[in-house]
Amino acid sequence: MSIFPAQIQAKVTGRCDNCHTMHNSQNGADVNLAGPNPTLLLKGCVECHSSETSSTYYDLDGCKVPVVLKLGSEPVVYLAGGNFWWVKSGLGNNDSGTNDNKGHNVFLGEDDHLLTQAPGRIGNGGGCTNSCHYNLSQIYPDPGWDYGETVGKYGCEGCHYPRHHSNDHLNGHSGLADTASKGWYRFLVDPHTIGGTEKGVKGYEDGLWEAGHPNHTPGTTAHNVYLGYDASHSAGDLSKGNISSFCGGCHENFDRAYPASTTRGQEYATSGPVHQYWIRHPSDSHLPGSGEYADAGGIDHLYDPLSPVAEMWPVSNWTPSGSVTPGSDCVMCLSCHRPHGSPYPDMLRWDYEVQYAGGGSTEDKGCFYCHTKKNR
Amino acid sequence: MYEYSVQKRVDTKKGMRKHTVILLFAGILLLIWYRFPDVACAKVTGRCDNCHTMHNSQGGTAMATYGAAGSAWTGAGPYESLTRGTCLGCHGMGTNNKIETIGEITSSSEIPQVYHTDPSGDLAGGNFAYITGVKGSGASDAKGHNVKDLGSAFQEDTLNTAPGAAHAITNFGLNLTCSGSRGCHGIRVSNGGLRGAHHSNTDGQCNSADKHYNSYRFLFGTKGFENMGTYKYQNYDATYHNEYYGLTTPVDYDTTSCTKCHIWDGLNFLVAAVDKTTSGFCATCHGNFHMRNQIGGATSPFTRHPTDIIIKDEGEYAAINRTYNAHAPVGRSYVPSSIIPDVSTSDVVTCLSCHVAHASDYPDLLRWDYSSMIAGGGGSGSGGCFICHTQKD
Repeated sequence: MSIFPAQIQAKVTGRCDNCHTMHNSQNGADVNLAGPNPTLLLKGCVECHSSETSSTYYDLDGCKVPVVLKLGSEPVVYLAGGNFWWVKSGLGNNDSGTNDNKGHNVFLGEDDHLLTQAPGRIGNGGGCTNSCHYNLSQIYPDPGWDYGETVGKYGCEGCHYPRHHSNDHLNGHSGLADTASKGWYRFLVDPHTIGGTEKGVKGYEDGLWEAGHPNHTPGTTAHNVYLGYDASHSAGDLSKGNISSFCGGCHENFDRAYPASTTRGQEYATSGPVHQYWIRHPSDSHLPGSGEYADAGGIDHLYDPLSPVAEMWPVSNWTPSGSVTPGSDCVMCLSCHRPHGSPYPDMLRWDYEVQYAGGGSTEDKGCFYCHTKKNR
Repeated sequence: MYEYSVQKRVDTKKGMRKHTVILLFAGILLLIWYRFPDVACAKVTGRCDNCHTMHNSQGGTAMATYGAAGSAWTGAGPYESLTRGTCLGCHGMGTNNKIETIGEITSSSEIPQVYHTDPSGDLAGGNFAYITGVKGSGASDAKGHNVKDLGSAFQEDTLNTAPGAAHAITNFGLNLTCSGSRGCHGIRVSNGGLRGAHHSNTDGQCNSADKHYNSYRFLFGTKGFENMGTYKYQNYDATYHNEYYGLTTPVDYDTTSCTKCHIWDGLNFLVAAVDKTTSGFCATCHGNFHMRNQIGGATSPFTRHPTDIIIKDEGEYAAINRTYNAHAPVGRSYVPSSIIPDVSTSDVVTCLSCHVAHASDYPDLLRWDYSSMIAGGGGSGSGGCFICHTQKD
């Protein structure tokens, strides 16, 4: 095995000049007319991860590159994270920001026309101004205090801390990414912890990024495995690596926070040991094993990548399952949302406007994958 | 043999035709059932976001803002069950409509309003706007149940417990709520008493009443027939009205038997309507106004006005107009499967024959102005009390 380390260590593979230019100069001309990029990259994040011909991934000299921005026509299929096409001005969006709410607005200067800060952000004495807690479309200046690794960055790097050469699974193959040396799950790291006791998201990465959304057949085992954590934790705390806490870093009020109060978080537990009603849709909570939730996934309890659930911490077996297990599996932010963008408002995985309660439908899709009785 | 064979073929053919017809008919029924599986079970319908907000955030602003403008129950949320308002927030929008339609036409939801200014009338339960004075002759605590949800300005100032309470219910007057441990709708617990009711609602004939969702208007344990057709939620006239369930004799109050009002669900003693009647539900708080040994027995003379007693076909009652009067609704001693336009000789008087549940424009939640009920005044058919007491006016 040690003879072929590249095949067991999942670094990016291929010629260096596929991605890098040493001096941004070739034959006397600039390689990148806009100037050299950090880490000597030929292109910026989205430039490299965009394609006019594919909306899922393309081949770069034998290395599969996931596509998060489809150029040209609207993507028909996409990856688990969705696609930025719907929020990119000149593609699925316009300068007026008509579709700003269909994804994270990561493009430089293309501010969200509706939001002035991350929805669900809890004020902390005025801190974090001009940071990713407010927008993803402006370069974050150095405020003179801890901005983590986001200073001077914007957009994708508000969430991702790329480590393309980390030692995780082989490109195009699936595997667990649960440490800094593996780059964490999809390079999702708490930027405030980089350089110290680093905390990142843990999860099992599908080798093809679940290419084929939104048309996956329920019951497939070709999917990511996300981590949930339902015990006491602060909003945004990535100590356990649960995906919803990562989202909660900016959207604290939408994260599950213990102990809950009436003014923040998802729960309303004013007295006694029993939760009262949810006041916001829960994440990092068990999908109940009773009531309508007991029928999640239908008779066969098929896992549906359109409505993914997470495995609850601690996870002993990260192998993707074709089943959903009510009472055990966990609802999370990504159960309903796509982090990059989707065809639907609020980056939802489905059209909320056609989720019709009591309409008699027996197709348990969208909200009704879990809320199996509310559509009937 | 040939004849037998031919006959057999004919019989077989007939049998096949018959089976085909039966199968076709069954198929049509199955199709109807599949398409309209819940025709007898009208749950909340409409887009989820008509009533719910997942995170109480849209475009950076709060979504849970339902409720009458400027009222105590209109805030910014978030609220339990991810709704866009409190009970009154959704059911007390303060508009000019007794039934509010929200959402887009093709996916709208209808919300019965218990606080509105619709001049064409109120829903059967009445209108809390009479307490605040937004509608009617002026604000008054005495005009309705002063639910806490109305805000401190409209809390009950006179009573500190339910009048007629069979046993002490401490400080009930100031803590009455729409639902919850001191509420009427749903199961009377502090935790999730109304959970699931709206999405499971059985309307029309509610003849089980063993769950909140199959009880009349979510009044746990109460049987009845909910008018959900034309003039829904209303006692409009003889043709379109609710049907209330009653008994011909109320039970005795018995301090040794808690189970008349309380049932054990395996975890808690829950409060449920006595004998599953409408009046029995009221009796869970106002027991002395209902129980037989508190009203002077089962026959006249009564010491308190009876409920769950047959309106006899004798004396002045024999002259009752037998067309159902929506202004003085009677109860039935069974749960009808449809609306009955007549009053029979076996029908009974209920609390709701005289009172409305939420509020009216008259003191004591009455359906009419008691102060203008003049005995011996020479009136005829003057309504109110005299709808039954036909000779006293």
